[in-house]
Amino acid sequence: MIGSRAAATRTLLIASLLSFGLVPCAGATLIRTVVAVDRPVVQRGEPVIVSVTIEQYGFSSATVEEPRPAGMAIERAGTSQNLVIAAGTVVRTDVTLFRVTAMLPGKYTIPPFKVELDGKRTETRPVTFEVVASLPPGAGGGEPGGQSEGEDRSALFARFVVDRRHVTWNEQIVAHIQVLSRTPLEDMPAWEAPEATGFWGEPLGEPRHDRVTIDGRAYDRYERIVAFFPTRPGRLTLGPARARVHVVRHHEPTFDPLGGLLMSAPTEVVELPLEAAPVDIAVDPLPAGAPPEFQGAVGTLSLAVRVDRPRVRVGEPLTVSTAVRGDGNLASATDPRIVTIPDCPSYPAGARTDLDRSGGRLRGSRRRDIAFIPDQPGSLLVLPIAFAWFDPEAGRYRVQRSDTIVVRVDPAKEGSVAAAGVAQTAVGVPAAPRAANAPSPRIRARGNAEPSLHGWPSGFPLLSGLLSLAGYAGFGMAASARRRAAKDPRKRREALLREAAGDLARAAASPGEPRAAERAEAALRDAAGIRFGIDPEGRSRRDLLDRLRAAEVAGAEIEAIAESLQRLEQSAFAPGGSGDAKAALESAATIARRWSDECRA
Amino acid sequence: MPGLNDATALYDAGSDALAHGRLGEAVLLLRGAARIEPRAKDVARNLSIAEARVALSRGEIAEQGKTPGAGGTGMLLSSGEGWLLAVLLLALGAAGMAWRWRRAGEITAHVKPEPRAARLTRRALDIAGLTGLLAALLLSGMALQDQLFPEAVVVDASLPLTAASGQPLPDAPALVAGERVRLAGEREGLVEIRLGGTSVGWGRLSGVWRVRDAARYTSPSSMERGASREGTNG
Repeated sequence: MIGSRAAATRTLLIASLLSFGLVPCAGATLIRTVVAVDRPVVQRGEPVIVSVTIEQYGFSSATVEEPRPAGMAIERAGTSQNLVIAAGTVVRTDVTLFRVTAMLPGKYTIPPFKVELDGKRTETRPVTFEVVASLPPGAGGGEPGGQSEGEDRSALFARFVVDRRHVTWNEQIVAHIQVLSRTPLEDMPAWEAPEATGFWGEPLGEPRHDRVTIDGRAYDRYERIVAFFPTRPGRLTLGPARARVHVVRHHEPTFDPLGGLLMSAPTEVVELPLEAAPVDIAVDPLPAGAPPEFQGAVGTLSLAVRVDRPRVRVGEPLTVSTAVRGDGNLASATDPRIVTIPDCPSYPAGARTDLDRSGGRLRGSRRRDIAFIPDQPGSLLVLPIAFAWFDPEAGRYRVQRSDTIVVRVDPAKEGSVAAAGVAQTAVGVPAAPRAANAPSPRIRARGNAEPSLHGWPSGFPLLSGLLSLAGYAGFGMAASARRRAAKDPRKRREALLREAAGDLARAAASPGEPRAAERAEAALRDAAGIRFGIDPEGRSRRDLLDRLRAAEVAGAEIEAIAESLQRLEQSAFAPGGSGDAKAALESAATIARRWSDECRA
Repeated sequence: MPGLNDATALYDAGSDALAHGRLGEAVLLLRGAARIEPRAKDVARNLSIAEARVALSRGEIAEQGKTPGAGGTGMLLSSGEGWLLAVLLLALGAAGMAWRWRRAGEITAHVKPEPRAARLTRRALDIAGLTGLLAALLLSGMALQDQLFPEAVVVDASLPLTAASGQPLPDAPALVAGERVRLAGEREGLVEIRLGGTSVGWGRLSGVWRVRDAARYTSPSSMERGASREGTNG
């Protein structure tokens, strides 16, 4: 139930962040996996704590599968998660702790842990530790262990445990200063700062108290963790570390001749000084070949860069923030250099170093804000910001560079101090207002009392346009209809007969015109051809009449045609305007008009 | 700023806004003037300068006249002139159609060949009519586009883009004053912003002004700004 509630809470948090657009909804990207043991040397039966740290961009949950090596017992001791949301990115850190116990003395190698994130599998590197058979010699100091002769010197002792004895300059060393006691102490030990010449130390968290089993014996363990950073190369010594503890001392009952009448205190609380033996540390100098951007940072670090806005006005501050974070001596790290084009005045706007002492290692972030004041509009380029550090895990230098950031610089607000310097930063000089110029004739949108800014016509253009369009369309459709009609054979025949009848009527009306009878004969032949569907072109009168007979034209009709043609032929040689000619023309016109009327009917 | 009912008034008001650094207002009014007088050199020059300054404020390296579409509407004729020309061509085309109609009715046995001049004239009238029809269709299309997706200019100094729900779009850069956009749907004080035919988000309705309403633009310094904007642009 708790798990489902936590999942629901996480889902709600992610949905809220996504809905507010605070984070990009991209898939998880693995940043790194780190595996470490809390101490390289343990006593027989004493567990070593192995931490597997997975850093990723995103919200996905990583799963860690422990190996099953022979001779070691590995059990899961706990998990923790941490989410950091900054500059629009989410960094999730999952730490899984394993308790590894080896019963026999010797050197052990824990095989790689398998890590799965969003379906992608990877492995950690193997880690080693050593199990020694016996407890250290009596480590008590001052009054020899506060223990009298004959007492077990391993019942109460202090020891100095470091996670590594061979490091690089400025590399982090995590030291556990422990007091182990077979019986509980009266209170937490009073620790003294260990001697650490050549180191810079930073305590990690509050002193701890737990119970462990070493070499088959149960102990109360009082522990203080300190991160040390060597400040010079060479062979250095950490410690000795001293602490004062309060223990209860039990006394043997003294001889009482009165048989118990004299009271004697059987126990008392005594303060004992303890001293943990020093540890030698070999510190290597940094290797050669450092990049130009390297300024002394050592650890497992990363750089983040952001600007507080993508657009700024002239004279307003633009804050560029750099944040270096990760494991390492962040207090001694140097902030990366920021260069802009064009160069503009800049001022420190803030610096902050946050150290996380709660974990097993010193982590944190170092942030610096620089305010740039752009003095001209256009684009302000924040050139790639480079940060270099030495990664002791990988044994090499690393360099991280940001992208070039382009910031738009708008002109200053009118009336502002900055505006005075850029008020007329023009791309060319504007033309003067027309009111100051002599009026010049210009093409205007004619036909509108008021020019139209929308695209539709109005007024005269609209009316005349509609009329023109209607005329265009109307005449076009009418012409098309007439063309179609002209293709109708019946209508075509009707029209041609009407035309022939008209020609004959005109000839009959003016019989005095020269060659009237000849034209009328040709028109009558054409009309007969149209009326009865024969081709009269080039045929003699006899041939034409034969064709009409073959077309089964009525005999009376053929007779009338023959007579009319004959009269026209005869009148062709008669004087113009004579009565015979006029009668012949009228006869032919009557025949053609009758055919035209028949065809129309 | 009432009474911007001709190109000169729009040009003068836009030039004054340009001189005082009010880029959004300058581009809006000069675009309005350019719609009426697309060949006016003074309008084109000041509009080119205003748009170049807008490009600079966007962070682009711009020179006068080098901004895409700068310096005018890209048209030789205003819409009114275009419509007049289209009407004239349509009228000629109608005359050609009438001629065609008349000839299409002739059925005669004595076909006479059409004179060459008459044939060429008829073809010219046909071409004029078709050109007028195409011009009218083009102008109607442009007017319809401006009706559906009216051209507008960002008049606020910065216009952040949001989703339709009003939620900010973190990856979308804010528009700057003077940028030309097209508008689409409106809802609850927001208007859909389109650039290059694509919707890029929603912005405050009060932050943009339609170019076709440039004559009714009310300066932000005016007392009646709110009421006028709600009444004219909204």
